[in-house]
Amino acid sequence: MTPQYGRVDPSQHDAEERLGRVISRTLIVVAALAIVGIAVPGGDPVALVGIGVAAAIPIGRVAWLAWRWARIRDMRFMWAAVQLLVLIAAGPVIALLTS
Amino acid sequence: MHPVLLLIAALATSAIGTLGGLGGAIILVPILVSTGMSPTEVAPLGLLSVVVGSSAAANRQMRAHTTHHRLGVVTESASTAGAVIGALAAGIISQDALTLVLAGVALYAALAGGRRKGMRWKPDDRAPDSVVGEWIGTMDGAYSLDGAVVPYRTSRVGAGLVAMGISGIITGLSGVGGGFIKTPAKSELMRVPVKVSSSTTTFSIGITAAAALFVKMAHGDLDVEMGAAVVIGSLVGGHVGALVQSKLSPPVIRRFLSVALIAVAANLIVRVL
Repeated sequence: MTPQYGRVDPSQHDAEERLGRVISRTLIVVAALAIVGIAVPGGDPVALVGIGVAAAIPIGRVAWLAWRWARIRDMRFMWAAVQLLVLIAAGPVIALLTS
Repeated sequence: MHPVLLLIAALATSAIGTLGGLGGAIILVPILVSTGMSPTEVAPLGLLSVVVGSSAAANRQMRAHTTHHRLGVVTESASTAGAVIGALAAGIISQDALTLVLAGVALYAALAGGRRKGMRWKPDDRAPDSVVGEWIGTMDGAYSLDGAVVPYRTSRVGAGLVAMGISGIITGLSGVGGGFIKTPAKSELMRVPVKVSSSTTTFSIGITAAAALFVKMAHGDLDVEMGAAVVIGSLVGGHVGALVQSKLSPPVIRRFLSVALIAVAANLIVRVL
């Protein structure tokens, strides 16, 4: 009996490699900002920008996935990604409102 | 704590956390608390180490096609919803009782993973290279192992989502990251290969940690100089963890995960006693 394999989006590997490169380059910038923040007196605002950029990467990755899945019409998972983004936004909002 | 020592601690814990799919905070946070830093000061540094370690591992794990984004997004939705509920319900259960529950869960997961021998999903000679990756519209897929293709199917999704929701509630109640529950829940309950489970959890815990980190930053809880040291250490640690993970066989990673979970459980028990 022939095993049933699923279908892989033909552009998935290239797209993920591109995303991986973007994340790596962004992290180099983040590391440079962190080093400046530590090494230069009064460099805290520079380091804070780096930390903010680092924190934005995972959330940006989910937004990118939602966009990718919308493009290939994988709508079920596109909506799952959108729902996750809404939940991520709701958590801090609730925390700030209840603090 | 001196920033250089913090950098070294973040490097080591991020490497271990990425390798096992646990997130480095579960090890880093107790270490920092034991040096006399306050939990309020330590919490954002732990979150930052998870966020940076997750992104540092991303490039290598995506090139190895071991991160299943669809699985990560679906399971993280359940845990994030659980975390919001848990955060709102914080205070209902005593912290000590909760910590002991967490230790019990970690021990159970360690035993479940450590007891199993060999590989659940075997390389399939008939599977073409073109099926390596995530399969569209599903949480199934295939990954490469030593040049062979290993297809896998995610099962017991409902039970897995319940486990992820519970891990989220525990995270919200206790503030302890749920990676040490999520990775074994995916591999042992949902039958996802341990490499995929570990990589996918490394991706997904970064999302929740980032959301929580923004709250901490908005409250001004983050010491920026310490944060910068954690960023540098976790960046290197995340790379090292992902590199080592790509070289090890699944049974070795599973055994490593079991040992790490026993250490986590022991640490949690010591915190209560």
